Amino acid sequence: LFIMYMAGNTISIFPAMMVCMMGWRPLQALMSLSTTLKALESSSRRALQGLVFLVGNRLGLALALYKCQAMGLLPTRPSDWLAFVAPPQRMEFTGGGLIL
Amino acid sequence: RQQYVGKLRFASLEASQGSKKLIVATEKNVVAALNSRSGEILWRHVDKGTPEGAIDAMLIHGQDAITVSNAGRILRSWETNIGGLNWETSLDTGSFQMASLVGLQDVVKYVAVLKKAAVSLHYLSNGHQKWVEHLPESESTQYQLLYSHGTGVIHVLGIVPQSHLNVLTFSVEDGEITNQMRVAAPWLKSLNGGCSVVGEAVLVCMDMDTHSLYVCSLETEPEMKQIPLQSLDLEFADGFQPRILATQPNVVSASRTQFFLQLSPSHFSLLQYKHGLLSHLRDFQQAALVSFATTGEKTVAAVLTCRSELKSGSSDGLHAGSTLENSRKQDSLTCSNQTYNINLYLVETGQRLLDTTITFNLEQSGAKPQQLYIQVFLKKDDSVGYRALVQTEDHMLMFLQQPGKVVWSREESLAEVVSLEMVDLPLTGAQAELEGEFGKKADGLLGMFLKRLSSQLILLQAWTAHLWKMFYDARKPRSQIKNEINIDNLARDEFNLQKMMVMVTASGKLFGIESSSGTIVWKQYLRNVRPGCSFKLMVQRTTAHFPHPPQCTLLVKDKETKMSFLYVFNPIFGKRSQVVPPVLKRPVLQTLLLPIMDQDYAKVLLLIDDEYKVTAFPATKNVLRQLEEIAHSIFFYLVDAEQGKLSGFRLKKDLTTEESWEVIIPTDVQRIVSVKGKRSNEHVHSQGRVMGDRSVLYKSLNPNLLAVVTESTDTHHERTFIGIYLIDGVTGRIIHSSVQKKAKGPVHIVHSENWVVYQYWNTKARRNEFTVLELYEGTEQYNATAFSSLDRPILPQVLQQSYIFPSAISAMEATITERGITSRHLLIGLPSGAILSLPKALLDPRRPEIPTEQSREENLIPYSPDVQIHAERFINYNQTVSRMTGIYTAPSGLESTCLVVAYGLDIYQTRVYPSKQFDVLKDDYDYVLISSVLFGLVFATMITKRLAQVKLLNRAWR
Repeated sequence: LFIMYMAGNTISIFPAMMVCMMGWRPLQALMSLSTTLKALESSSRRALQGLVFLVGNRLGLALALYKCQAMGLLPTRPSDWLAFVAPPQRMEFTGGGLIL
Repeated sequence: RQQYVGKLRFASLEASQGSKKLIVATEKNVVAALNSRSGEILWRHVDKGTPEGAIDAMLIHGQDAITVSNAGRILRSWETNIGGLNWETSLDTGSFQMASLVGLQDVVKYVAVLKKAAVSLHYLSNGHQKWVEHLPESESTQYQLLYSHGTGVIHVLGIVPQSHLNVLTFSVEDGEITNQMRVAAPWLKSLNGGCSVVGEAVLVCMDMDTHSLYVCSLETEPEMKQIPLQSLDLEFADGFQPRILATQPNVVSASRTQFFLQLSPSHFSLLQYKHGLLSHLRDFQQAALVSFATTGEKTVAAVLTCRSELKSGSSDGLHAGSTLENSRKQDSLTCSNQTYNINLYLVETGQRLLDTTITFNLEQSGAKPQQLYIQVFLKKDDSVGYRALVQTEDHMLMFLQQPGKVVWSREESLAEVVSLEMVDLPLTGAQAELEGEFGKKADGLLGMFLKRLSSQLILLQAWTAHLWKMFYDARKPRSQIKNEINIDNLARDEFNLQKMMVMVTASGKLFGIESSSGTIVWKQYLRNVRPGCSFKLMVQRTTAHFPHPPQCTLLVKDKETKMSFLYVFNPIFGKRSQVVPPVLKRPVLQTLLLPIMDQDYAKVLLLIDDEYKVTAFPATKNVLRQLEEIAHSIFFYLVDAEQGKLSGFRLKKDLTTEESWEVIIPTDVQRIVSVKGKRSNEHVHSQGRVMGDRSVLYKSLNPNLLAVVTESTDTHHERTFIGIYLIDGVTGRIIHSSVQKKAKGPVHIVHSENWVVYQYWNTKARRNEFTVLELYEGTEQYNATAFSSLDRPILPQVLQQSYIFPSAISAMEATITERGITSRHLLIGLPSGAILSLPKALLDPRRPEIPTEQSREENLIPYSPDVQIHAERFINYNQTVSRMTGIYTAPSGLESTCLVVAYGLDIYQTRVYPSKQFDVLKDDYDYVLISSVLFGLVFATMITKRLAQVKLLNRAWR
């Protein structure tokens, strides 16, 4: 996390890779939720542990997303969709000019 | 690039057989030498395009060509071989009348220039003035003629209209008046045209009222002798100002005693005045043009006549607009079959010389010859041979050789292009077949399948034929392969980079020019177009709608009669279209090309006349119904520059209009110079600009916006100003107006997307300046789906900035591309003939004075007031375009590429890539390496797969 903070908000290859890793880890962990739960089967407070695991990973993911947002990698602004804005249809036609 | 010289004013052909050049001075203020073998320009000097550069006279002596230009202000001598300037002197002011070479004892040493109040003599070798003499009584007397014939005196003829002639005789040596005569001539109004000097200083004049010739010797008798024309069995035609054409083959000897008398537009007669006797040598009925030429001792007269039966007056041939027919009545003569003969006649006797007939045909152009110049030479057997230079009405120069062979021809009307459009070339036959298949209605699955198979087969056939041709061509040496372009093999290329340029020239001739090679594919002369017409060219149907031919419409409006007509033609082949345009009874004020189409895919053209009624073309039922539906959204704007009035009209369902707005710009303070709307085929890809903080600044893209430029009528440099008004064409709302104080025109303006760039002369700082205006809606878009001028509550924000430009400019245009993704450049034609491609990003009103973090994020260049001309931004390198009048841009099939045509005296076509060629692989793209790597990798994977299998198998065995 500290490294993340130190990396700053500029986009270059290392911070980008780190953010990717940061996002990917919790995702992977969430994917393997069932196996983790299996490993926890012996435990008595299974549900709570599972919940903590889930929340922790979610938190990690949210942090990664926040980092993405801070780096400006998420298309949340209208400027990101500008290229897809269709030109407005014209309602009137005009023509003419200097009298010939 | 193609170079032209313009319509001839003076021409001179050298009189020896081996000479290769002819010197011309044209109405475009150009002095040039043409190669008489090929018609190419040997050298060319372009003077100012204004009347200041106008060439008033040209005299040829040996290797020197003397020109008088700028209303007699400047005398120049050119070396005709290489076109160098021998000398140049400036003369005193005073309106120029005539210049003439003066010789003394068989040597031509001086050139004499006659002005309104003075006559001066200059040395031919260095241009120094020998003497200048003021003419007596120059207030009342108009001095118009100058004559000398090697006797050491110069005769100057002045006239007091309806009273008498003043004949002054100057001595060449010191400019003293040796003799002064006063000849009573109460009938004479002007010396030009009606009078001429023949023989040994004998003045011949003619009088319309008494139908007689007057003869007077300048040296001896102070009286006019009257010779009635009836004694020669000749008569003047009514209403025609007769002319006398005489010749003086050598300035040191006397003029020929023979002269032509033009009695009517098509009637000449050859007369002789010798020893006080006037005799009639030969009569030429139905001659169009006559000309004299001399070689050695012989002087011949060339007469241009019609070949067969003739018909005088107008023949309303293939052209529309019978309203203009009346104006053609005075024409010299029209040959019914457009075939002309040139014959030579010996001047002394009027005999026809044998074997001297040139026959030529002008069938294709339908234009009449206008000027005739003859180059005569003696053949080895002492007979006379000649070549003829003919200029026709449509400014075409033809150089003819015996017997009727056209050595070369030049289309000089292309020196004055008024309107230009680029049209896509048609698809090839096979492609068209494929297109046609999709165009037709479906008729069953099987039928469609069969059709598809057959068209694929045709494609295959065409491809194999193409391959075969390539193979065949490859065996031939390269020099033999010529890229011949004719109408049959005109086809669109892969990226639509070649187009057909349809050019309308001021002489009324239309050209179709293939853009990549510049070959003239077709030409068409509109016969009933008079000079000074205004043209408007519109493309009604492009080549995209295959079974229907493309269609262009030209609106021609006569300046004097105010009547107009439509000419509809096929822009690819130049043929007149079958479609009958409506006959326009009222003068048309403006046109509007609507995007709606009739069932034949022709765009609808609306013409508004001076009663503000609208005519639609084509006017089918379908169109009228569509028009009725959308009539409420069609608006016209008319700009009357004379009254300073802008007015808007709304179309009603019955095709009448009602005025909806009016803006008056008072004419006593300022006058409207130009009005620029947006180009209808312009696409804007991006609707806004991304700011540094990643919000969007939306562009205000009003398609109805007009930019109106006014200039002040007061031209004093302290008070002069220009005004810019941005007006909505639908509502008449003034969106922005600004007045630039201490600024002067000519204003060049470009209006595109959401910006306007204009250029003017700053009189205070004495420099050229650009100002750029950009319109933005702000960070919110009012209505993102539809744009209506009637519903715009918020005025756009206007940003502006000015820049200093180091040069004056002669033309300006913005690049345009197919989809508008490519960044825009401004193409600026400089007076030096170069075309500068200036990125629009340099003229951006958001350029900050102090760069901040955000502006850097936005890639804004910090503001610097001067825009520099970098020579590497010239798109035409050394191919300068003289006296550029306009630049035309057209999109090509490639998004990165924009086609540019610059026209003026020359025509230049090129492609520009404003954002580099981002959609084209580079020339040095390594196909071999990349494909070999690819294949190698595929091969390697296959091998490793195989190896892995073997290994697995081995392990399994173990």
